[in-house]
Amino acid sequence: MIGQLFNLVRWEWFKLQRRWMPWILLAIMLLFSQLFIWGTFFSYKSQVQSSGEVFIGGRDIEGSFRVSCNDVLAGNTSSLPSNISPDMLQELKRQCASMAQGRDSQLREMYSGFTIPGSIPNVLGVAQSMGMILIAILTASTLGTEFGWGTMRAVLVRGTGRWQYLTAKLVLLALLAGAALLVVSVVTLATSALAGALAPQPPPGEVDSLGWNDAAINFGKAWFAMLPFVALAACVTMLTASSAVGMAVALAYYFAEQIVVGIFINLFDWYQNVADYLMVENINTWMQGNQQGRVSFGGDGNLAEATTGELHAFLVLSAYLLVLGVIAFRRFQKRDIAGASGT
Amino acid sequence: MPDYVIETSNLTKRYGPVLAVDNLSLQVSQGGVFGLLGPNGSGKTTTMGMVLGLVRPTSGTFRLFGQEADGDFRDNLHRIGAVVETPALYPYLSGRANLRYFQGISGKGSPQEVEQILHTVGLADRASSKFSTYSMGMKQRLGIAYALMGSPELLFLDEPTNGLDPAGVAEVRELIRTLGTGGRTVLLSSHLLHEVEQVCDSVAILAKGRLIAQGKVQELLHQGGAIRLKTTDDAKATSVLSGLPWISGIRGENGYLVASAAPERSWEVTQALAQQDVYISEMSPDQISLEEYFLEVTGEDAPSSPGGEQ
Repeated sequence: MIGQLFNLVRWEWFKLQRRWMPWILLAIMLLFSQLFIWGTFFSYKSQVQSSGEVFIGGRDIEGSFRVSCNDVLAGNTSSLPSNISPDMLQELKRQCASMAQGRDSQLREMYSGFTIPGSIPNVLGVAQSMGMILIAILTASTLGTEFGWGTMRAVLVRGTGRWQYLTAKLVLLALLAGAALLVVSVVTLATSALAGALAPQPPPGEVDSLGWNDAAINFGKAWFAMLPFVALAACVTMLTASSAVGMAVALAYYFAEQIVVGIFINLFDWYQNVADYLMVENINTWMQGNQQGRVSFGGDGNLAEATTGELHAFLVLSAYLLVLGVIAFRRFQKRDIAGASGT
Repeated sequence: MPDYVIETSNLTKRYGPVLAVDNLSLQVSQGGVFGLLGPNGSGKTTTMGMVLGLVRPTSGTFRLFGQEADGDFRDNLHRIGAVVETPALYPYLSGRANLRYFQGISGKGSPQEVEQILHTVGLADRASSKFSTYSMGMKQRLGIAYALMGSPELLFLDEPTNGLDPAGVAEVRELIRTLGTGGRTVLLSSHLLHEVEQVCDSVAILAKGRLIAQGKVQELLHQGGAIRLKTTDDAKATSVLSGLPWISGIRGENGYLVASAAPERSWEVTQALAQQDVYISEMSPDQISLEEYFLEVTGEDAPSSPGGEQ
């Protein structure tokens, strides 16, 4: 049984690797993850070079100015407007001192965000957000085209079991989701090493950055977070036998849920109870647990609450996987397989 | 080995208000080429789909290789090769890769077998080209190659000469005849009467989802045959023959009398006329074509005459 399944997965990969789509989707995933790395890198570099500027303007001052905080803190007032009052100068110094303190910490955070190992969990978060849409597209395409081309018939008349075939497809898609995250991680490892070598060192000090442990945890979480959209796209495609509908519904759901939650949660208090059981909402909860200050794994005061949130999200997402999976399998098992539809 | 490789019993498929297959009871014996003849929409492909497990019957049962096909009968499908409707293979894969894939998922066979089959169907030169670049005729050939993989005992070929040029049609028909030897059974679905008459040993005629007739092609043609004769007294002969219950009709045609009866009953005609002092000067069997037989049994237009082939 396992051997047969493994054989089907192997031959599904034989087919899929010869299509353009998975490679294009991987390229998009890599592009976005690299945009994140290099975007943070250039933003950091710009911040380091800018040395912090403060905008001065108001009723008492003719025109407006930008002054360097380094100058202000060093007591170099030559670049300041001549009519600036002592009180304003004092306030400016206070602002600059406060900014300098925050800026050092921010620079350290930014630096750790695009250098090893902190870059990996950060990029995995980005890759997961983009990846779950892309894997839904790939799922719908992989399953739907079999109906559209009429090849589902050709596969089944050779004695391939329906549930075995669908299982093989879904196992391969799940493995590909993991492989894509792995490729993104490896490329990120290389590019963030390069970015780290090119970037100036941040100011010395403690930084609460993400480490290798977080990278491993985020890898597993990002992979799991992509699976509900595989199940959603598979379910819709099996119900409609159309890749176009499978893709459209998965994408529409992704955006619609966030828009509806955004609107309704501000209008109705009770809607939070509904939102707690929605797919994207729980994917976000599941992923954020390890990203926003690492509340569940970093050991701060919100540990218990955050862990409960993650457990809830895990259970809800598992339920989605189960229900959507059962519908997809049952529908496929029962349906008549028509010839090529050309869609 | 069971008597029949396929045996259906009151097989019915209904799509909403449309009755695609209506209480079909069909037997396909082992060996030879069996034709499933009928116009478009007569239920040929749906019947094939049900037997192959692609379409769920609304009611009725069927047996494959003597085994009741309830639940999981995939083991029997491994003994079958089939192309249902148009050959639908992966457009982005080459002909060779398509065959390798289908061989791979069935878990048996070797790359050499693929090359050999490609050679058999005359596609060895274009085996590396993508399926999407193939002409209709090449697609048909690759479809047959796909069906032949794993040396199946039972082959389903659905309109296999569609899209082929005349030389290709002749080649494929010859190939089908060869495939139907050595104990293998070929189930050929076709709307081309001429093709079925040329290639098949047995035939089942479907119309509007119902089985109209089934049997050996030659027997069916004899059943629908006639006896052409010249007598010493045509008027008296007509009167005598009209009284025989097994003669369904008698007409005059170009100076001959044509009696609708199986040609093997000629001696009974001779006897009946001689007893009434009417003597026969000429007599010959007047065997009808499958097209005429089809018209006779279905009472409608023939699905497609030889001239209608593409």
